[in-house]
Amino acid sequence: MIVIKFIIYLIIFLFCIPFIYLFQFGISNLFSSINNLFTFYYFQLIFNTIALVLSVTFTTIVISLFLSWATEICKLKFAKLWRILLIFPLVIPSYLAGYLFILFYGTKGEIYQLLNNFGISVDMPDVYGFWGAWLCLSLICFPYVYINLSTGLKLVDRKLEDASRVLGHNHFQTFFRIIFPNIKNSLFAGSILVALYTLSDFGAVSALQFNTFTLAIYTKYRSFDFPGAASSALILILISMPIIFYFIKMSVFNSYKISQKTSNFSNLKLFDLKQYEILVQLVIFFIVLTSIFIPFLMIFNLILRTDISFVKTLDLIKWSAVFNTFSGATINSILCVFISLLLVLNISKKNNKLRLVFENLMYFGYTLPGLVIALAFVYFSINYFFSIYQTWIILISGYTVLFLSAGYAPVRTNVDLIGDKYTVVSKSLGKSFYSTFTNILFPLYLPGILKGFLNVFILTAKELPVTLILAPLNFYTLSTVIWDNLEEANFSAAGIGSFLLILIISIPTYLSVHVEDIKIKFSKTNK
Amino acid sequence: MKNEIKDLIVSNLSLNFDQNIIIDNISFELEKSEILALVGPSGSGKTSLIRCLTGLENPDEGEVVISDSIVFSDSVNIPIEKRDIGIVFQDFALFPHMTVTENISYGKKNDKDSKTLSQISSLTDLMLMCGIYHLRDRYPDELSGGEQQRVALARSLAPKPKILLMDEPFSNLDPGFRMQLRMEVRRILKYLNITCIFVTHDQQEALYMGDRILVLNEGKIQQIDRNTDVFQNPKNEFVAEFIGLADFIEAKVINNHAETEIGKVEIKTKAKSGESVNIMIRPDDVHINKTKNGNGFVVSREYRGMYYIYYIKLDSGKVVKSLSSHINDYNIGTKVNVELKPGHPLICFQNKVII
Repeated sequence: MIVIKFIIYLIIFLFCIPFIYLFQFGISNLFSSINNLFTFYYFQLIFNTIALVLSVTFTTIVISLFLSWATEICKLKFAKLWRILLIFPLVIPSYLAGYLFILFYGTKGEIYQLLNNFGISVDMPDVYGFWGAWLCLSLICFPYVYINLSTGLKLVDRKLEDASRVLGHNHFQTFFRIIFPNIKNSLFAGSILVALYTLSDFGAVSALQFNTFTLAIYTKYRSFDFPGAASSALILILISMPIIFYFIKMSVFNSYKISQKTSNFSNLKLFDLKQYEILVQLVIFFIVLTSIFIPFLMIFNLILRTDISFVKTLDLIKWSAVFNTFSGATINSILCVFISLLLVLNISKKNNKLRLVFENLMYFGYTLPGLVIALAFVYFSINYFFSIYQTWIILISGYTVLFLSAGYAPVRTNVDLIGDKYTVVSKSLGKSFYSTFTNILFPLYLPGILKGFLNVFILTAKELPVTLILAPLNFYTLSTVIWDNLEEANFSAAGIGSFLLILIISIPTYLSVHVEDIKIKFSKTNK
Repeated sequence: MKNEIKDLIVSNLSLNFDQNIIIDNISFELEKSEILALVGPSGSGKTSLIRCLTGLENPDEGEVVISDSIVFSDSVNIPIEKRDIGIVFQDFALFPHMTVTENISYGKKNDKDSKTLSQISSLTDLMLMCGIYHLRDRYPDELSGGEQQRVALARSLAPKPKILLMDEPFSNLDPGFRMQLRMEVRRILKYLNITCIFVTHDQQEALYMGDRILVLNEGKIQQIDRNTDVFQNPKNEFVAEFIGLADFIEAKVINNHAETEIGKVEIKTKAKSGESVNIMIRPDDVHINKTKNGNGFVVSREYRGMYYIYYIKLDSGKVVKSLSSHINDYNIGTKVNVELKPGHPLICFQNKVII
């Protein structure tokens, strides 16, 4: 028991490190440089960041409302295929998406060259700055809203639709007056995820050179302006406080609300689009084309740009990175799921206050940009714990703080869904705790555990800023290899790296969305 | 009264799902302000029939006419929202994000000019009549099952539909409450002169609610008749067994009588003297007395409070049911004398069909 307690307090301590960094180092530097604050530079940073977050969130909401309506409510050919394809933008890391965006749409990009081959010379619009960052982030983020909305739609009782139709309202009136109010929460949850992603995204904005806070923090860190980086980080956290607050509230609240009613699919009557189906199909195809097909084709395009010798290219990929990505993500996922299970089982029922404190801290960790967490750990280790600076330990700690909640949420929901009735029954039948856990509880918790594992695995494998800053010297993962090669314009190596990374995370991504279905089925048979 | 407008005419309606016949060539009519109880075992096609009438399902063939206008035929398919039909769903389907008042005033007809005084007062009247006026500002999940049921009824009545369809509306309520609610619902429907199809799988409920009863099995109409007729003169053995408890006992016709192993009874039949038939006996037609050397013995019993239903095995091996006062407390194995005392002529079946 002492060991467990020790682990719990150690984890809580880890989550406090960003706090220490922000509120000790950050505040002291903020006040010492208070004059700099009211400059046009900061004003512009704040404006840029907020404008990007609002526009990306709004765009993803519009795209996802359309897509979920089309694939879940309408009678659509290939709906199954679209549902699978439309989650795949998630496998493209933002830094890669940013560069691919430039290489495709940019001034001398693929479109320009393609048109040039036909003798058409067009001045491509400038992709750098706001418009590029907005489009690029919208195209990779919308699945967060789309997945949430589709799940939400599955939970709406479809009889409501029948009831509304019978009371004299047509399909669209019904959608907006009856269906929409019932999926508002899912929409909200998805939008918050997008807003957080945009706030903390570092890859796309730095590739597309749109000066938001994350890019500013990184630039300052690279030019050894550590106090400046810390005060910028603090301002970023302060302006994102409303979103962080809502995310934490939503996450903690959601995990308390466990029983989910599933609608009766046998009575489900899909909306017949008739002659408009082709139009809907075209729009979906266009979204799939721009968000998936073009990036994927561009990856192959990168691979074929042998700018340097093939041998050197293979060398640049650093094959240990493949192993590092895989093993790092696996180790971290196992660790996160293990910690989650430990926490849920030990502090769930007995100590509600500790649990609340812990959950708030943990979801706070998830909302922080990876860059801020990385800087916090650098600051902490340099000042207090130099022996772990640039070691495996600090890298894994950083990952844990950033991604623990992604593993924790499904585990917790699953554990709460099962409740303790099976434990009571099993113990009353004379089984020990160990036997109860391995034979009864573990299989029942498995969907949640699996989903938690997959979530953390995907996030860790794609992760860039924490790895970039906290990793030991000469330790590479695929993300850092892709990033370095892109920056140095070794496109073939970056392309092969991207291909390998996407290969590693696409199956887990598909499964993690699919496991949700298993869980729903599971809770149905449970009733 | 041949020219009177029918509120609903269904002719030759059929529905198939992947070569399974769900509804098989159904035709019937509904008079103004008549309540038709649609009854049948689960899977008999009741709900599909209702869905076809509303337009939630498209039948493969047939014609549906609602108060003189064709809503479905080979060439016509009026969309659901324009059919003037009200539905009360089995699980109510109240809109969870709307209050009771908002739910009730959601219907299109109230929607257009919901601010007129007569609209408001008619909604208030409706809520008062359904006994939910005091709940008007609550949300559905703050209501009990019975209250939700009334709200669902009021919501479907508010747009003044030509026909009301109720799809097993009481099946989610606890049994004691169902009795009370069905009295109330019938009172409201009769007061407002609503033409209604009431779906149920409970024969007691069907007998209570329906002016007429339509018995459906395997997608076919078994019988459509006044409720007393369906009970007393079932057209076939399926209807006889489905509406009330029934046993069939072999008998030989001799003039107006039938000779059975438990006595001679008066019958009404077209069967000729000397023919073998099955006569239908209800438990209240069978009387039993405890005797040492009776012609049967008790194999099982159901205690129902005021009375027992005894299962008696006759000498021939046939088991018949008998209704007996709660005073007659016979243990299992008791020898009894079984007699037929129906007090009215019994009906006969040959090959499961009335003769």
